[in-house]
Amino acid sequence: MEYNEARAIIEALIFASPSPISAKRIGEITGLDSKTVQSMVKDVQDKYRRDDSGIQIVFVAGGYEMATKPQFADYVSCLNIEVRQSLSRPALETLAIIAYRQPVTKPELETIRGVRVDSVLNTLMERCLVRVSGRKKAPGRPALYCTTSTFLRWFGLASLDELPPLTEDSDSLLGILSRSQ
Amino acid sequence: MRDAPNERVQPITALEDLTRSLEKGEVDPSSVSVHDTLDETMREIKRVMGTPDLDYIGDFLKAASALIKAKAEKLLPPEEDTDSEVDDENEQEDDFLYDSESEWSNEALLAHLMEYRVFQDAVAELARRDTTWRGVFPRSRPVEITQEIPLTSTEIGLTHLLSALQDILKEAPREEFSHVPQDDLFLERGMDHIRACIREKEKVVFRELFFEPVTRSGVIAVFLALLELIRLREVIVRQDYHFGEIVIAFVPGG
Repeated sequence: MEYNEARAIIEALIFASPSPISAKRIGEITGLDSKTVQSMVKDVQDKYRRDDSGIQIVFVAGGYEMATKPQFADYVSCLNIEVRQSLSRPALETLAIIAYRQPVTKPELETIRGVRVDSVLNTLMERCLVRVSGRKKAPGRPALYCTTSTFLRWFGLASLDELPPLTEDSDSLLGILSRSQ
Repeated sequence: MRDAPNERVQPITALEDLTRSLEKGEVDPSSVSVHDTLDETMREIKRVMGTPDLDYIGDFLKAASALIKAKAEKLLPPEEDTDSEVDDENEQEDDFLYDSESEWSNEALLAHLMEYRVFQDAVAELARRDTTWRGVFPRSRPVEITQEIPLTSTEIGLTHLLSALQDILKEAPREEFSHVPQDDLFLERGMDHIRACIREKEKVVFRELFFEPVTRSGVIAVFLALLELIRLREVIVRQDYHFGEIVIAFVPGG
């Protein structure tokens, strides 16, 4: 398979995939190793960048997918595409705590936020941003919450590692917090 | 795109500055004036009256209450440890809570103050990304749909069921109401009907539940009965694939 042909196939796969497609999956289909796939995808990404295209290839939730560029959002939204609603501040706050401390129970969330989180948690569950990952081995077996791949796609994150690190002060404080529990 | 400027939340006046100073250990909590704090709080509340940004007001109140709490804790006498045989773990915890003069340690106080603030930078970053990525339209719009979560009675969502019910209702003829049915019997019959349908084939497609009751009230009765069975955790509702049929089955092992 020639380089250009392989690159075109990869572009087609990313275009046709219904969800972000990983380099591994592309490799399985094309017979190429992941490193080569990544290099070719970068080529395709550069091509879209060079051509001042309205399309870009983004790496989210561990896979590649095609998406429009944000600067054209006003035009694209005229297509009656349902634009998702922004998350409220309490929802973002709860989500941030879950993202950094997952898996986490509802009482733990409420301790940190200082308010009840039932309603916010329901909203986040409905939007599939968080899910119940199991039950804590503690009295009452409270549900443990963690983020989903939808969370990663929602915020354009390739993985949880891409979350900004908490500041040093915050880290030491987290240590204090966990010691105090 | 990812380098867009950080849309930080609004700064919260002198009170939050004071809280930050406390966090850094620059101010001794015992020197905080409750009067001044409350005064500042009331002034700020009056200032923002009419401001539609409830989050802003909420943040301010949180900062104020954290400060008052810090002061209150500083004024309280330390708890006496009556248990003479404390194990190592407890001793460690006591060291954490109290300093050598048996007062609340700054660490514990800071931890309380920062419970809420620890994640603020992360929240700001998520808010920025939320705004940016709202304008990015992927080829598929998977955000509201998840593939990794098995669709069960708790996760399929009432909206899915209501949407399916709307389709059924469209086809059901309206009838003249001459009497209001008795609730319990109404519901019980519906539940029996669903149980019988499931027993027949181990599972039943949502639409098939409504073959028999052709009236609108009959459809609603069966639907309410389904909700009751879900609430009782007697049945699960699942959709094996997107846009597929909604299937109802007994809870395994139930």
